[in-house]
Amino acid sequence: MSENIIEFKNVTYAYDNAAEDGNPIDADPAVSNISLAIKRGEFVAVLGHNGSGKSTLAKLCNAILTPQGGAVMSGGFDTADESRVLDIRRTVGMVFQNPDNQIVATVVEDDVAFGPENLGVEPLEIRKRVDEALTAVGMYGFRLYEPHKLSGGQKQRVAIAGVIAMRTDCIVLDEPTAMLDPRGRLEVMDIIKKLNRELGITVVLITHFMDEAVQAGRVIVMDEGRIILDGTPKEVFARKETLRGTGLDIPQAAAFADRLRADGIPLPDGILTAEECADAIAYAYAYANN
Amino acid sequence: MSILKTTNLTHLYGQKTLFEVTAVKNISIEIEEGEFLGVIGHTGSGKSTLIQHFNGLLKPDSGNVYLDGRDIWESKESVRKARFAVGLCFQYPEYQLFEETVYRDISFGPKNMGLAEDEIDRRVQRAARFVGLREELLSKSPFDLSGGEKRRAAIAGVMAMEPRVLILDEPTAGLDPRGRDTVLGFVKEYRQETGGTVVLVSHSMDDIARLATRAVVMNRSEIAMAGTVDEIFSRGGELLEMGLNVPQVTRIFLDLRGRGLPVSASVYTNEQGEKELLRLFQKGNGGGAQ
Repeated sequence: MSENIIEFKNVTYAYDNAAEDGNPIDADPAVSNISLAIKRGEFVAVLGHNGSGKSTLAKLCNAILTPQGGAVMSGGFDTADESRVLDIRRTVGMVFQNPDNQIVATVVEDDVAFGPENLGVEPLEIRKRVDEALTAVGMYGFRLYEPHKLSGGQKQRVAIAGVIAMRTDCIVLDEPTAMLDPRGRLEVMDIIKKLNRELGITVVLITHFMDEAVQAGRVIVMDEGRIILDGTPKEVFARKETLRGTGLDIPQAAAFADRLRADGIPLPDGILTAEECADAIAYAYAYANN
Repeated sequence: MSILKTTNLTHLYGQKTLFEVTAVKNISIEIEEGEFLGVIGHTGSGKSTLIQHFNGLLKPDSGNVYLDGRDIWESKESVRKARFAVGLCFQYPEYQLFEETVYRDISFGPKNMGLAEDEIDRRVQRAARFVGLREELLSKSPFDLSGGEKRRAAIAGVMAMEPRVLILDEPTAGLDPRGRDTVLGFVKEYRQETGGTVVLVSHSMDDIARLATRAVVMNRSEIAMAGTVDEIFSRGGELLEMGLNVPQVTRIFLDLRGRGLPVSASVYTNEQGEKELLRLFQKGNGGGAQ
């Protein structure tokens, strides 16, 4: 088995509104000549403002879109090979932004069973997987609920359980918290981290929230269809000018630490979260008073 | 005199069924003419139910709603008057676009008010300018716009009614940082130019901190706090407990106080935090930090 679960080689994709009448117009590609490898077990965050190409990148991962130039290999299968679509969908599952657009059943557990049913899994095995998946996202107690009675965060957890029940090795989540309130966002981020750490599932998280990206092991920043930064959160968020140039903020705690450093308060580099910042300030204060 | 006022407002959903829920309970608030009020609360706290009473979309189960000191449910005419005086822009308003062109969509409200063609045109142009929609977009189908442009067109539709009170329910939900800045920027300009009363409903404390002069916090169907933005933010710990997101810098200061450092708990901007820490470090080590 390959070490890379997803590989992009010089991938280009352009949406083409006029293609229907046979007169393609030269639209700017949404994704332009991207090469990228995601290793098994990684937790990768993809950042970028709207229109940067990050959702297109997500849809190329499991053959919802197929490249117009170059190739995407998911779980070792070429996504352009139509006979392999089911194998690819068994490898890479997707969760989208709007929880109301991806729930199909009228009972929570039926919704979670929908994916494995379509993969032809045996009924007894489905029962087992559904229970496990709902337990993993903390929604087992809601298995007989009607989905519309759940909060946004709970609905997203059901959607994630649907992917877990398919036993995919990789989950791609396209802004799964964008429509949630702070509490829902925390719930979903906790589950995402747990999937990666405890179940070893590869996670690709598309987001525009900096505080979510800092929790990943690797951060990729996209702008105008290209990858402009790729590294650990500390490496990426050190490139402040580049980030601001693409219309992204740096994490608030990092910006605050910068100001304090400029004022002469001795803080180490690489502060990204509120906890790290408070730690560093408390340390500097204790040091100054000794 | 206040422009809008509620006294002991209570609203129930599913009344006299097993599923009866008190959505808002005993709410008495006053909104002054020309003020910028923030309404904060997590999903399910009752904030959307509350604002739907302001223009008569929902009728209180008990209590009253007053516009200019008159009960809006006094007569059919007074309800109609409230609908035009108080413009309500729902969450994800772009889902409500329906007309053939952006121009017709924005003019829908003013048309229903029975205004003359040239007055309608003036209002559409003005609203489009407020939200930064270029002239050439007005003749397009709303469905050909980008997500951010759709949102702006939908907000323009409410602004074109030139309501005395503009209520925006989560206008930045689901937008990236750049989109958020754009929307908040034009809301601010709209208010400066028209002097109108604005109510901004949000679970983002950052948005409220940037724009509002006064805020109410809703929790479990009731008003948990009301006051100036300063007063509200000085209770950061309680806000966190209600599932609200306080600015990172507030978290840092709550953390520092928890460790026993002598710092203020009501810090919500980087500027305030910087000042507070400079004071601390100067006092702490005899001017070591310049």
